[in-house]
Amino acid sequence: MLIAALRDLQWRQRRVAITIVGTGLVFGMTLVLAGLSASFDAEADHFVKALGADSYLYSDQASGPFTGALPFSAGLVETVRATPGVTEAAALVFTQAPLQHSEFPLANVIGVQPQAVGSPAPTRGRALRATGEVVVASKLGKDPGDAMVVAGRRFTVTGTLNSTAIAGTPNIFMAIKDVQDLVLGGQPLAMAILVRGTPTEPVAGLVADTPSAALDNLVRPLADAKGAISFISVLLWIVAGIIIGSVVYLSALERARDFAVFKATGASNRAILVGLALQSVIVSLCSAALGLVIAIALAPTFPMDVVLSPTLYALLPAIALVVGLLASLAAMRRVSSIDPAAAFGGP
Amino acid sequence: MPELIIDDLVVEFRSGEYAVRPIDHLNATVAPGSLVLLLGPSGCGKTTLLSALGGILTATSGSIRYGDVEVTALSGARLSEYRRSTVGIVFQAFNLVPSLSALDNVMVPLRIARRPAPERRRRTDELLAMVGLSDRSHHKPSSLSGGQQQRVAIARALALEPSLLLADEPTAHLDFVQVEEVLKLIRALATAGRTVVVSTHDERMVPLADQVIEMVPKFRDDHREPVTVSLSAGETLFHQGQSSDLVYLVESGEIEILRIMVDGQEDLVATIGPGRYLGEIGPMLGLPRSATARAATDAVVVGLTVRDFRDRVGPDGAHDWARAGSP
Repeated sequence: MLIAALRDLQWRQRRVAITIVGTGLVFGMTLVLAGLSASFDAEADHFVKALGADSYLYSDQASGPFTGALPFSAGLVETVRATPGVTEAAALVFTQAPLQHSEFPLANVIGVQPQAVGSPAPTRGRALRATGEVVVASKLGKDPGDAMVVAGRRFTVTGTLNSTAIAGTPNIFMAIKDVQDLVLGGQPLAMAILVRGTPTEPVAGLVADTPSAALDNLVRPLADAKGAISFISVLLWIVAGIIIGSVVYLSALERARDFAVFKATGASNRAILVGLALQSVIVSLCSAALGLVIAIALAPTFPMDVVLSPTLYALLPAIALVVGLLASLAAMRRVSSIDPAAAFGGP
Repeated sequence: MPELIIDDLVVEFRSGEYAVRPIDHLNATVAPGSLVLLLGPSGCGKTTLLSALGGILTATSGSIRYGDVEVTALSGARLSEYRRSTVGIVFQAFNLVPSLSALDNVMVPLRIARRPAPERRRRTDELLAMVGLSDRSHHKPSSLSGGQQQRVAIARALALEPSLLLADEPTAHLDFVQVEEVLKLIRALATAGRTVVVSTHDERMVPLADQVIEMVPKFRDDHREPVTVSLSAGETLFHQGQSSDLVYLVESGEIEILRIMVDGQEDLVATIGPGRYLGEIGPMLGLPRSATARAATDAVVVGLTVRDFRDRVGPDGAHDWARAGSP
């Protein structure tokens, strides 16, 4: 009875088209939200990789090297450097500072030791060499050689790179000495020590984290936002399911006499239900395809990065399939209960 | 060719709170290859009987035997197989699938029976040619006339070459030209050695038929002497579902009108006293009794034919009856 199901979709093409557009929009929005959520992890991953450390040491009283970090004496870098298993160590401060004359009111300011682990390689210009220099996120719109005012102090931009953290906030890398002057009252303090190699002995007062634990620490402030996005995504999946389910159910109600005739003619319930499921699956998959196109078109217009990964592309049709089948359950239940005797009787 | 035997068939179902018995101990034998009319007014059980013959409705008791097949004993896959391979049904409202062309509609049973594509195509072409619609095969039902739709429906019913064709009021929605087309076709199908059972309330079809099954007994609507019936308290005058041609006038005592519920309980509808009539509706409309009449006290009633009843009550009385008549 698959041909009857396909012909019915053609017969109701206007309604089917409206359903696909409506559901496609919902799928598109869901995809963008998922891409937004994924971008939080992607930017954190990018940032942590750019630092290039094998291990992150931070105060044993703090909750991590980036968020919830506590300052400790930068002199501990020497102790760490002398620890067996460590090939390179450098102090780091991760904080935030206001920007003047910029569309971004706030930036993540990362103090690193120039030409040591943690000092990033820019995609344009050169890396940090001395104090008074900054390597900045390209989204700040600066070019090498430009001036940049951070927390009221003037710096020279030596390089730019694609680097953000904590929901698209631009990163500014500078010499740790400059950060100490800007926000730590000039005290020789650090909030983390980046290490190449693996320390085989503990350092008093410090704990060590892997890059992946450091990444988790960086995205921790976004947990609520990610939770809210997931919640809205689930609501949108439900809305999509309701749209498809309503249309398939209404069609099933209108076709009650057809189904009764099929049953009276000897068709099994299963054959009829498979046709109904096929309709849901076709509408869902077409909606998913349209949703994909909508998401790809919408993503660049978003103020934040939207990471539409191949995993999401693969997941969308799979989830759409499940949503479509679940949505058709009510219609299937209704159709199963149709009595073939209903084929008799007047119009 | 198999013989169709209906033996003491009873079909009862619930209508709201009441039990309705449209077929009450029906017996009939249909010779193979004949055109049989199920004749009677609306609501007399014609469609119910067709449904039972088609294996679509389960009988309450009794049996239907078609050749070696005990239809009333079938269930599950064997019942589906009987519906598919033995029976073809032409529905009253054509019931073509609106999204399918004439060709695809005729093909539906062949697809259900999983016949190979070339066979499906060949058989469908044959059938559409037989009903004279080869040139309309790609038209949707909405662009076919009523007669053409009914011919497509007949072609669909014949797709799997059933030996038993059931047609429910096949001419109900057709004009006289279309009626002629369809009746010729139905007659020809029976002549070709197929048993065809047609339900209709149209007595003009009677000359075409080899056999007529009257679903409601025919009563003489003439003047007969009134029949006086004496009842003891608790004695039943007539039962719900029974057919009868008499209207009763209560001379003395009281008669209770009782409706039989699904659970067998009796629901008292009215109590009729001396000088009032009861049981007018059934005989007037040719319907079975819709309630049971039982004497509440010792009573005497007089049975009248419908004509006598109308003579007695006159036009005003008939008007009153229409407003407040009893079964």
